[in-house]
Amino acid sequence: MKVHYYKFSMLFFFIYSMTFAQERNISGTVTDDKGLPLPGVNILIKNTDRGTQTDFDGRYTLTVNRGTIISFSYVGFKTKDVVVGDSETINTQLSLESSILEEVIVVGFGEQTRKSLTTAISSVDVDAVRGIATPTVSGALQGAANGIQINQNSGVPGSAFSVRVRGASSINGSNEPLYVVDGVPIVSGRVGENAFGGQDNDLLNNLNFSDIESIQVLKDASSSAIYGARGANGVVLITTKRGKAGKLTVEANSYIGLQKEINRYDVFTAGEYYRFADTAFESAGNAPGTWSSANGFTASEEFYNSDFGDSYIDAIYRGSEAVIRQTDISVSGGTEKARFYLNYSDFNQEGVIFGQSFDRRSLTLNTNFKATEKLDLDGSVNITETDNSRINGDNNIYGALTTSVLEQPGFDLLNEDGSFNTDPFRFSNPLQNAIVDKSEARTFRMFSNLGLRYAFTDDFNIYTKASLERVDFKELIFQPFTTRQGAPSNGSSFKGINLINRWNIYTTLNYKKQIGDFNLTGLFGISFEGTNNDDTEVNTTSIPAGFELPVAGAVLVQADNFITEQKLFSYFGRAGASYMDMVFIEAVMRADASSVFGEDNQIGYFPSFSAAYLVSGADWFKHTIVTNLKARVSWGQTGNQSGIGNFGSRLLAGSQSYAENPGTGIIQLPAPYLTWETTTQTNLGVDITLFDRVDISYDYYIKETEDVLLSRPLRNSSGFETVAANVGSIENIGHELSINARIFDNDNFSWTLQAQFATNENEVTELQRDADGQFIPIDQGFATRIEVGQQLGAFFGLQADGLWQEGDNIPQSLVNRGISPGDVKYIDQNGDGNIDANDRAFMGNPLPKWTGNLRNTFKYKGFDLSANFQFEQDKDIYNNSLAFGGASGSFVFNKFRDQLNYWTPENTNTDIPRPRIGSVQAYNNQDSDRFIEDGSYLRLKEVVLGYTIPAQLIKNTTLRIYIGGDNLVTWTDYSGLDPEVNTFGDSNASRGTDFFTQGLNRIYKFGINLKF
Amino acid sequence: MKLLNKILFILTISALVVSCADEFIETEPTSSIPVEVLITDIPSAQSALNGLYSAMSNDDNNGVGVLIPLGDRVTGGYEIFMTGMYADDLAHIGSFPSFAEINGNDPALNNIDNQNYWDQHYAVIYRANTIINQVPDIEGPEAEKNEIIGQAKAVRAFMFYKLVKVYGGVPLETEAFILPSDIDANPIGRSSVEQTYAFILDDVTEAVTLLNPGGDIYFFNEYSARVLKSKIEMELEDYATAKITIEPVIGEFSLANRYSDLFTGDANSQEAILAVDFNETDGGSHAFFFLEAGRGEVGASDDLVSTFEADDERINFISDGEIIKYTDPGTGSDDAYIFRYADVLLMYAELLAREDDPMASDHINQVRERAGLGDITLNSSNFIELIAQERRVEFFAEGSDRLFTITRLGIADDIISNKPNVTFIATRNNLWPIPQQEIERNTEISINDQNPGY
Repeated sequence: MKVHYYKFSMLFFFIYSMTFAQERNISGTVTDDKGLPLPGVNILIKNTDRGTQTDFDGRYTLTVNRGTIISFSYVGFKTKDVVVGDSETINTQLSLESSILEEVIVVGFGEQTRKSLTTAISSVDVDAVRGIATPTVSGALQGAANGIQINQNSGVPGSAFSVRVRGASSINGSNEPLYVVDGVPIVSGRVGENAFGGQDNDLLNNLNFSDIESIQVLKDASSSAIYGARGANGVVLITTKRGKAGKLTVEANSYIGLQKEINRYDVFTAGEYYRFADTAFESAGNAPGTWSSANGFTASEEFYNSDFGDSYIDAIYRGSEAVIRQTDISVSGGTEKARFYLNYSDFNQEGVIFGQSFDRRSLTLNTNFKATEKLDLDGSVNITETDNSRINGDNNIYGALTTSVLEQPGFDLLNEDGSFNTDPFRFSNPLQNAIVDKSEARTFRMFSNLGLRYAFTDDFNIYTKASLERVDFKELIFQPFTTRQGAPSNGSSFKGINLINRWNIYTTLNYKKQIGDFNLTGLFGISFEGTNNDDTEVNTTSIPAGFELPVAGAVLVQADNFITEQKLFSYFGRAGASYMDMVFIEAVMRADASSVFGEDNQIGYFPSFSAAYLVSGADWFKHTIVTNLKARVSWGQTGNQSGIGNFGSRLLAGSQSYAENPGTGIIQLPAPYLTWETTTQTNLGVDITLFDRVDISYDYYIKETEDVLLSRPLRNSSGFETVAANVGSIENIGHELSINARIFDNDNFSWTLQAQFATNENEVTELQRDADGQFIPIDQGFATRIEVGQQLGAFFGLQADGLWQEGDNIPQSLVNRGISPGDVKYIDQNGDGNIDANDRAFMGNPLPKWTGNLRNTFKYKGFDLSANFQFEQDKDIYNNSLAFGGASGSFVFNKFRDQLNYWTPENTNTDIPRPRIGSVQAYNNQDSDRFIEDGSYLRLKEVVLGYTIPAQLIKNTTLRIYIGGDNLVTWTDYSGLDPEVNTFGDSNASRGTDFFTQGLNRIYKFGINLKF
Repeated sequence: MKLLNKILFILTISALVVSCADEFIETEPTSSIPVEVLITDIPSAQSALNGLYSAMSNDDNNGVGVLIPLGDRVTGGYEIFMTGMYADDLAHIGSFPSFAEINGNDPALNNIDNQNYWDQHYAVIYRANTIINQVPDIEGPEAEKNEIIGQAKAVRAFMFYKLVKVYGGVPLETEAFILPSDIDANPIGRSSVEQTYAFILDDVTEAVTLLNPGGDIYFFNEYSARVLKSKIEMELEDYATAKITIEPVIGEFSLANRYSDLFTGDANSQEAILAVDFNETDGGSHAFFFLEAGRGEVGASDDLVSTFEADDERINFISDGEIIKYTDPGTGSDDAYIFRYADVLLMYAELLAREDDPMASDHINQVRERAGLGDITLNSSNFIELIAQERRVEFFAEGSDRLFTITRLGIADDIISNKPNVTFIATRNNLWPIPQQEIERNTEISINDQNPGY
């Protein structure tokens, strides 16, 4: 017995000592994100209340069991959990709390922390979009900022984007936001004559994306009110990079990509085309095979089933992938007294169709000097040169893309000797259009500014900035006499030179003061700026062989010089107050005197007020699930003066000669009452952060724009069709929701998700009334009508209900016009038995109901993977290409393949009308909802997989390599090339219209980021 | 103290700057001139008159970067195409949907070319009204003022004539308002056909009195005003007066030696009575639309091609269906005729034939001989057919003559209803519809005022 008891206690001791043996002393140092020791860090053994703190040197010791978890926490830093392993030393580095409240936001003429922000401003994560293969800032912003709708109007290299912040509110003016770079509004907008079919020349092409440090978009009235008469469409604030004190940093970024068009058109074969045309002639009583024999062929089943001649569409595409690439090299650095940033950037893009390319070279130097204790200077110079080669991409008879689809098939593009075959083509040789005709534009832009800040005291300083911008836009459009375009004039050469000068000087006084729990800030400023445009155009014909420029030996057809200028003088002020860092209020007022306003209305005043309450800043607020809660409200008025031409309010006579005698005539009726458009916007917003990980921001806004500038209609018999007037009203109401979630955020693995949704309802609420008090609608584009109660740019036309079939009771008035089975059955809306313009009704909307994006970013060890999906939902497209390439178009044009199912007496189960000629064909081809399609789409905008070489391998250097793709997949029902394009480019009302507009490209890219 | 001084200094400067705001933002346009009143003296009146003809010759799309001449709704372009296709001379061989409608005699109410035709004629009328209303008040010799007013009245009469022939009665606009509010406050409805012709006759009669004979063929003078007046009188079936009106013109001009001398690019100085000057910087669109080398949108109808007699030289200006009277598609510099002497001869021949005057044949045979054809006998029983035929082969593709002649002579219904692929609706009376936009914007014209058959 005694022996068992003894063994038992030995066993017990054994176990007990083994257990005790697991527990041991560990020690270590805790450092902050910069590697400096952190005293006072709490170290807690999880699930117990035992723990310790770090000492003055950041060191600690602790007795723990193997396998337990210890938790390091410190205010302002992220809590870190570590599992106790075999090692006796556990060193930890804590990382900063990424509190969204501390984010610094650039606002108009100043900066604020997001905590104190009372207005609706979207910040763009510039690093996330830096790698997108596009030359324009707007292109990179697509799917990056919420509440901003960005569309690429055409896939042509260098073409412009349409940017809308919270919907369109102007009809005649611009709906583009104001672009401000480093505090100075820059020249933006469209220039030039080679803007064929939506491929506008956008002066924003000159902005080099790699120079940009941050982008903020001011969306509501209070944020943009400080820009007064130009703030109604929102403001995009761009801040460029500056040097940092410290060692010299050299950075090199480069990528190269291959582009391929997302879609290509597909058309009838030559035989199918002749069958179609012959059928059309037969339907009018002609003999079978009429068109075939007119072209020298004999119609037969075998002939109709044959194919011959070149494929025009395949010929104009480059075939091999078109290259896009960019390289930036920057050097930056400095001391406490002087810092600099120098960047050279080179961008190249070939178009997927021959004859298109866009190149840009730019050099930037930003400097900062601390001249004395109180005096700071900053200066910057940027020089950019771009070269843009275009082909005629318009929907006209010399457009390469258009003729490649519509030209009669069956011919060879090149002769035996390699020269272009021009004779048989009805309009022009598609390949020759792409290769030979020349349209080139060169832009030289110089942007320079100098700023000076003098700090009277810490709280009060004065800042003055002077800037000069110069844009030289030169274009040459040349058609040699060997092309169909150039032949009639024996070769023609057009040269346009547009010299734009913009200068700006502003001064602000900045004041801040803290009184007890109150924080006050004040800003008062004056600004004076002007823009001057000197445009010369020379047009010549009969160009001698071998020459391309409008030389002296050619025949002068046109020589014009226009000079125009505008000036703006303003003063503005902003006052803000905060109480206990919890309640914030702000008031802004700006007064603008502009040279474009009519004499009766020269000065505009734009006030705004906003307030915010940081609920989570209160003492009683429990930071458990909701770690941050803030409510914002703002109201303000901003203006839009872009719709008034520089001299829009005056009675003008133009110079028109006849028979070489100088003549004059009134060309513009006066409008001295002309004034800016005023937008009043109310914004309610809420920012919530959950679990310190998920940031949610929601905004609701109501934007009412009044005094909308219209070319209001006059009765045609007066001799004038329109005159400018402020008579319209437009309303935009919308919601914006953005969610940024840091789902995982560890040393090794992190996953962040960004989801943004925005919806905007646009409605025209007032237009010019006629004498009976009825609103007068305005027609634009192909089938766009502006009318009260509808979206700006709603589509208006006849409605079709399939086709008339055998046995249907066709109204007599239509029978008289030649309508019979197989023709389009339009709905007789007004019941008068006839189909005419009075049977039109609204049939679709080009503006999407929903837009948004979903971006996921994963990081695992050195790898990073990011994917961004972008979508537009519930929008219609007016596919005017069908008016030519569809079965109801004239027989002279080739047809899209999906039109093969046209009506014949044997094939009646279809919506595609029978081939016709003459006025019945025109009847079937009227603007109607037959050309309206659903343009909603979801697009994988960008996918990137990158790898950063571990720091251990290469000292003091960061090297990341990545591969990725842009626009890889698009899900849409639209039958054209791309649901995003607009043949009318930046037009305000004529949107969502496709007319053989070149679509976007898929890009596969590879790049490196190097920093040392 | 130092700080306060600095602040005061800055505020003072700012205040000074702010008070000069108005002057800072003064700008002046340079590419067009601001005016209070367009016509203040003889030189400005002359300028305005040139501007009037300029509007008549093309639609002044500011010439900004336009590489191909387009426009010309009033002369030298669209009016030739539209009236020719609506009648039986021209055929639509191109792709414009609006042209297809016109060729089939079924223009939609919102047919864009119909609307542009209407708008452009009224734009010219506006300029004529400016001159007619303002010139009487300026200082200057009566003779010079009358010359200017006379031309403006002739142009205005000519515009309303081209409107009434295709639309019937139209609004008789005589004001040239400057303020949009005035335009809104003074809408005018359609006058009747009779009222319109009475107005035209008034204008052109006065023009004949005010204008001098002779002068530049590119501007109206007494002779061209007489031709117009005579045409109006023939429309009104006042043949006796028409004969008296036209007689002074006979013998003042002569036919060009050869028909081909007419189409060298410049109007023939012997035969032209009134022509429109087009040149490289100010072109018409006729050549561009007729020639395959241009757009090849409009060609000769099969009926026209087959109507020529054997030996008729004039058929040489149709080549394989292509009309080749105009040869410069690049800049549109071919002149266009409004009236030429052959027109006067045929008018006079018709007037004489109606009275069975033996000299009638003489005049028509002058025209035929020049074209290489033999003589015919013209009298009161055959003149309708023979005159219509001769006018057709002489003036095809030069203006609106075919349509205007067949409607005047009452043979339009027959001819148009026999066109291939035509939508012939008799109640339309061969008129075009009043443009939809005018009806929508003019409170004095409603849907009920639309031409019948539409």
